[in-house]
Amino acid sequence: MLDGGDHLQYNAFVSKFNLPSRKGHGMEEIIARFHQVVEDPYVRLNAWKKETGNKVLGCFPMHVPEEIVHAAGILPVVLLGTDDPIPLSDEYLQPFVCCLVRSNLHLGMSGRLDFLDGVIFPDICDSVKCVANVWKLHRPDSFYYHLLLPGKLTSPSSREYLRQQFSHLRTSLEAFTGKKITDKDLHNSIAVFNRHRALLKRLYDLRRSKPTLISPRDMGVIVAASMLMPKEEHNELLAQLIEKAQRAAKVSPVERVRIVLSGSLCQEPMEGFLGLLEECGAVVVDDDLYVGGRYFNTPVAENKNPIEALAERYYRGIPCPIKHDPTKDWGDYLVGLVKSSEAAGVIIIMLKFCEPHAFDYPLIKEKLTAAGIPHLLIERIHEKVPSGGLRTRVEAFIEILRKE
Amino acid sequence: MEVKIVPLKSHKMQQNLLDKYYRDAKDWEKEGKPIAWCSGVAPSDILSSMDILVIFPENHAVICGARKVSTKLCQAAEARDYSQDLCSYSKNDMGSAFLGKDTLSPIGGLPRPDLLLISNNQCGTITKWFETLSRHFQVPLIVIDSPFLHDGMDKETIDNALKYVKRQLEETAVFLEEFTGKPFDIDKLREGVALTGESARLYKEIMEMCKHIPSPITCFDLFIHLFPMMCLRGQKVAVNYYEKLKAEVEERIAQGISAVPNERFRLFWDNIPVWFRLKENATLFASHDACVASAVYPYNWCLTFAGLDASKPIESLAEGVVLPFLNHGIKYRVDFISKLVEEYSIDGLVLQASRTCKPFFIGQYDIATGVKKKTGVPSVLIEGDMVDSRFYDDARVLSQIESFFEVLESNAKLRKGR
Repeated sequence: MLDGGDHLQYNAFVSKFNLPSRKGHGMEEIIARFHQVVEDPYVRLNAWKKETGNKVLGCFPMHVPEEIVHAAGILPVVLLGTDDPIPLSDEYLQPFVCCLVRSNLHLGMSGRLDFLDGVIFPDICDSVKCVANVWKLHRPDSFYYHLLLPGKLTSPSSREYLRQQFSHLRTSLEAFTGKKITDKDLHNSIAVFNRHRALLKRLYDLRRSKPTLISPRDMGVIVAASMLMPKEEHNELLAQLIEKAQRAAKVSPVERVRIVLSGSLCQEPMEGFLGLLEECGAVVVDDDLYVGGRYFNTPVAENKNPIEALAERYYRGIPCPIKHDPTKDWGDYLVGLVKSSEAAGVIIIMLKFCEPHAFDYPLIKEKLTAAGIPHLLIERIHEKVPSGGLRTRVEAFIEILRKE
Repeated sequence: MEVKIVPLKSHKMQQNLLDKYYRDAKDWEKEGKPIAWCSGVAPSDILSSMDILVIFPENHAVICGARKVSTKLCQAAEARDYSQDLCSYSKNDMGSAFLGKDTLSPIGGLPRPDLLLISNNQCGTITKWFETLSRHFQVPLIVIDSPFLHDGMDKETIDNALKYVKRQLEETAVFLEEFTGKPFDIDKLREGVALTGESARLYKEIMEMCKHIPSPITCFDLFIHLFPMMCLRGQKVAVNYYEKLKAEVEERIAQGISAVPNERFRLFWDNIPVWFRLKENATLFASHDACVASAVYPYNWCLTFAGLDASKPIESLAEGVVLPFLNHGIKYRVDFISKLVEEYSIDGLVLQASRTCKPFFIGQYDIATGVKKKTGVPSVLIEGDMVDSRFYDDARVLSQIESFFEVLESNAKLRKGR
């Protein structure tokens, strides 16, 4: 539960890992704090847990209604995987599975996630569904929750089932903590998360108008950090950052190529890739990435039953390939995003072996082509530094856009 | 070493029935009668009861795979930007649909659907595949959404899943009334479900005859004879077929005909068959005096269909959606397979790791170790795919199988030595 008293406990997260004081109090110092959060996050979270006595649940991407976890007084943390070496994954799984699932499996089996009080597995795809059961076989002594997300949103029965699943998550967490989750608790949590969404949206709006304000890499880190720390504290840092951002001039003297990033479902784009964009003289003006626009898109209604409201957010939001709903078209959405952000082109990041994305890609390509929007498809594999081949392709694409 | 295998007479019956099915489908299309494409373990009976002909693209993929044209059809889909890593059944099917008149399908492709009905009980990929078909053919897609039965799931959650599926079937019945302009006929559905149940029960009885040592047939035969249970559900012709097949197999037991003349090893096959290497694999195992006596694949149908209670057709169909083998977690599969190993006196497991079928290959490492722990039986993992030959290296598989037989031979010697 989050009233003023509990809020103080969450404060410990940032203050504990304060940077030594720096000259000036510009945006850089705040952004550096976000970087600290994402650097070795599990070590920090483990220490924070011990100090505050709070529980932490790992949430596999995507679509876990974190507000419900938050309302239970538990910190939800998204399991973003890693691009560090993952040798253990090969002991449990063939390599023909996406690097998000494989890297999380490695982390889980290596013991580095043992500090978690449990894991929530949403049924978003065949890989997560099946690997969840491999995970449980080898790490049986934990709280596990399977979020049985319906595989379609097109019928009254499926929407009812989704509401049931969210209610069931609530009662399971109540049983886990021994504490009731009241509607008021849920409303409070929704308010915190909505504030978070509004702040990120504001930051994205500021960046769209002054694209060199925040680098692609830094924006990625800012969103990722929010998945690895209490939202309240992230909100505070965001508010401070936005205040400074509003005052910053940051208009580049050089013309930059305006890019929209799309996809990279479940996992952040490679760290090196975002840095590469900047090196090539591109700026990201918008995105529908999971660790990006997708995460904070669409607020939850605050004037109705909270479970209803959370379910409604799931029906809406950016079209997602795992949400079967023929009334939504990801291609059309992306075309709209490009137009509203006045981008020159799109870079689509597709995790290798991600079936849902791979089935949607041909349709997205068709829509982009019909709208005359150039795009580049990148297959994301498990690597930290972009290969030479990738570098060349990205440079060439940016060059083409620059000339147009 | 020459191996004299006595082939099943019923293979000819199977071929005739298959040919007739696809010929009839073309006639049906010409007459303008409604056709639906379905996923393999979808509750297609509900469509049949409304006089909608059901076609199974997965069966078409099997035919294309067996005739070795599947890889090229997959490439046709890849030419339209579908990733090489995607399910090869889906690419075979989409490739064939995209090529239209120029399809390489040995039966000239499938008749055009008016409707699509699937369940995601076998995988989430089915939904994405059929979404593509829905857009391509501009026809409605009905998804019977099945929650996954994770290991350790409680009864209440399973019951809620069944209720949810039952509700979807009722919604589907309403949709079909509008779509066909005909009233939904529950009696007709009962009759169809009764026949589906009967053919599945017969198939299961035939499968169980493989417990006999030596086994009268192999699972390669059983794979070939899956067709009526899958595609001719709810029809008397499927029941008649399995009665004949059962009689022939019983006769073989009576005459002491063994599928593999000198059966010394009994194997279990996990995952989907490699359809373009069915004969080669059968011959390879037979040359080592090994009979594949048990397999998991047919249980996607006969496990639940054999228990269908026609008096409650909607509830039964819901069970047929939620309870098939593949809709279960890994511990379930380990226990299930271990039980089969004991019942069928299995000496070794062959785990075909189908590159493009995640629900089947994920967890195979645990099946290998888990079954070994429970039963002491060793496994070999071979890399392959159900229909895409680019993912199957003959030399490599041969070498792996040869090594595996060395293990089985030495295990047998150890047992003799005691």
